[in-house]
Amino acid sequence: MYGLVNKAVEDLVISSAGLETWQRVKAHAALENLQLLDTTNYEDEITYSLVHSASAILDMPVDVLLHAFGRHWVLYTGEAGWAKLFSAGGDDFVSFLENLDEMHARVNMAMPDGRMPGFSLTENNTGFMLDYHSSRQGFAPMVLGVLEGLAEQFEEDWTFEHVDTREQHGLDTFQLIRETPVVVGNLRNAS
Amino acid sequence: MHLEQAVFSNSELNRVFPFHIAICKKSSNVIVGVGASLQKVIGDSWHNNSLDQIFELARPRNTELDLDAMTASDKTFVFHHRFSPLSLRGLFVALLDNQFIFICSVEVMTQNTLKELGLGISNFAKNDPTPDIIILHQFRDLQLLDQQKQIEELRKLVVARDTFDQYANTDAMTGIGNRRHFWAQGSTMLNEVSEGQKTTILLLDLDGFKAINDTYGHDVGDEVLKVVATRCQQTVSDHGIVSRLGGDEFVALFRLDNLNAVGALVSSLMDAISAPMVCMNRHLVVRPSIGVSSLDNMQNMDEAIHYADLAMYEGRKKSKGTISWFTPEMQANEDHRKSLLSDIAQGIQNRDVIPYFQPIVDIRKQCVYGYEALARWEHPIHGLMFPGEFIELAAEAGCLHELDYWILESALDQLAVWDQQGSKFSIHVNFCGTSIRHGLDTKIMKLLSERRIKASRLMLELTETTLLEFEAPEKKILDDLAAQGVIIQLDDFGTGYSSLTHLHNFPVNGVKLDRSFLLNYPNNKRCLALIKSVLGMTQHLDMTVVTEGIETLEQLQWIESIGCRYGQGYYFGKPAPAQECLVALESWVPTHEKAA
Repeated sequence: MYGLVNKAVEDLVISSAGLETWQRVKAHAALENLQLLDTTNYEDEITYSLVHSASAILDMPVDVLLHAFGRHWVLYTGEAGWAKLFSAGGDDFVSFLENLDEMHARVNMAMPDGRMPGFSLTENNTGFMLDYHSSRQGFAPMVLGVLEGLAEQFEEDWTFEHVDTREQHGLDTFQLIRETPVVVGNLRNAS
Repeated sequence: MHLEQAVFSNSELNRVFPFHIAICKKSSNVIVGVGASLQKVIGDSWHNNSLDQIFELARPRNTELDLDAMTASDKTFVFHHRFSPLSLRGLFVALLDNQFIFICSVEVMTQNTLKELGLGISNFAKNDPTPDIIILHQFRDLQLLDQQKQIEELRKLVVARDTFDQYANTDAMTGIGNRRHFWAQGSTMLNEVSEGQKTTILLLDLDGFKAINDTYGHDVGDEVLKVVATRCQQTVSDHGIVSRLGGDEFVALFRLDNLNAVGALVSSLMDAISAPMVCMNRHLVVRPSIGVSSLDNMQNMDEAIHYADLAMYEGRKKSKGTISWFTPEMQANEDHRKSLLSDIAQGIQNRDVIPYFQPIVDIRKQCVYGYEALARWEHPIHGLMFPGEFIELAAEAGCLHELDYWILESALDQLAVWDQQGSKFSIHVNFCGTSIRHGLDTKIMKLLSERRIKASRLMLELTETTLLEFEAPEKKILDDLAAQGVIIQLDDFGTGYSSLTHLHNFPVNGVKLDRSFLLNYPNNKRCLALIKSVLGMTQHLDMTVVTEGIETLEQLQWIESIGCRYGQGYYFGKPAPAQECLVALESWVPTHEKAA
């Protein structure tokens, strides 16, 4: 994975637990001298190792950590070097998800070694179904975090449910349901 | 097959060219439609307006807005929207009925272009690479940031390396180069070709530095080293390098045109260091011993340092505080010394080191009273060698005690032989301090007992310096030996501390007056007076006195006249192998007869 991802892990740990903890995470992963660069492509094992070490040091299950990482990823990429691209991704939550594959395809031009995930969004009677495709395993909790982070970023209220898992159905699928906004004026009228 | 004509629906046109502008030439170039994405940016302002009312042709400059000509051209045209930061870049195609379409996309001027225009990826056609420019720009920015980080890391590494290098090559106390620095820099200098220049290495050691530390404390000693380092640096640095090897030892390597210049520099260094200094309010003068080696064929640093060291060592043997120049003879002597050093242990084992015997005469009775066993090395290559040539080597090789025991044993063997031949002598054997060790008394008594020799016939000769180093265990050994009858004599008395404490504290039964007292007989009245004094004193203490160095009849007569009973010297006989002693004895003529 590109260093950008690992740096987001670093940013998450440092912002939540401090620099010393991050040093301990690196030491636990036997990567004491690791200096991360955004545009360098690192072995996936480094990312896995960092995530598992962070899980051990922070005493947090890997799933929970990846979920937090997903939320942080949105914040991080929205603020880090990709902020301009992020803002061009869409005007709202749904359009952003619709454009996600195309954005990844275009990013792939700049980062040709990146193995980008794929997302397909289809509307159904309760909202949207999002299929998540990836050559990597185990990142579904992160996707859930990303969805929550995006909804928060666009200030929209959505609920998400991991309805199908890759282990059971060969694909991770999420049900996206938009919360109906409650208008204060209506409440008054109702009363 | 060529496509002659294509028909697009509005939605298709929008999908493929979301930023297009449709213009009607007949109606004075009025805009008749725009793509959906363009509409998003400029709104409805285009309605009923001509192209040049809404857009300004920016490139190519000075081009007339002639749609037919522009359509026929292969050129790319850029239009600026007159009311927003939008720029469109594209080309014209002609449709039917004097209609033209400007097929274009957004010209990306800055990374903020899309944001400023409120455009997103979805506003561009799938095949439009315009957003990719933004992505590539952002990636390039990240790369630049990464590059800066790498440069920063590299800079830190370089600083760390330089700092480490500085520490690794600098003597912490004096701030000049250390041994490591000298080896690295010096080796480079030695390997460089120096046409017509003399490469000189100089080793410098401060004389009496330990005394400064002991007397004034290490703080003062450290200050002295700093001053000396500075003075060395100031004197030598224009021509070479200076380093502190450790302790009070400094080294310099420099190049000068000729030996005169080298000599001048070495002298000025000696003067500089010897100049008075004030260290922590102490007025001090230190002098160095300097060894210099200035050879044309110095191959490596080890060799160069070795030469200078040898020169300094040889110089110090003669006098401290001097400049000593390396000569090839020094190396030859050193090679000889090393060869002997490697031979000495084997020499003792092979019994090539044997005792020679020099008579000690009872002057009053006019007879040989005993013999002093003196070690001689009959070296298979170098011939007969004297103690001055090999005792230090034996000490360096750690076999001095073996030598002492072997000479003692051999001497006692010889004494037993003489006993059998009917001649009763006493035997004097020299012992060094390191030979006085636990079990010596038992060993000696066993040797005496095996040869049926009374303990009182054995005199162990120890120097005053040896006694100085003795502690309680050594004193007990001497006490035990004395208690069993062995006589302890103080050798070379008068050349060392001549301490009366030694006579009192140790079981000393007699002294041997050093030969130097008689050297200038009869001219040195002071020495003669000293002999008289020592004689008087020892007589009061009931000790025997042997005067060494009697070489003439006059000396003997004077010694006899002042009441000294025992004498030793060439006048009576030189040290000789045992078999020659009795022969010499037979031809010995008593003093009185000689005088007559």
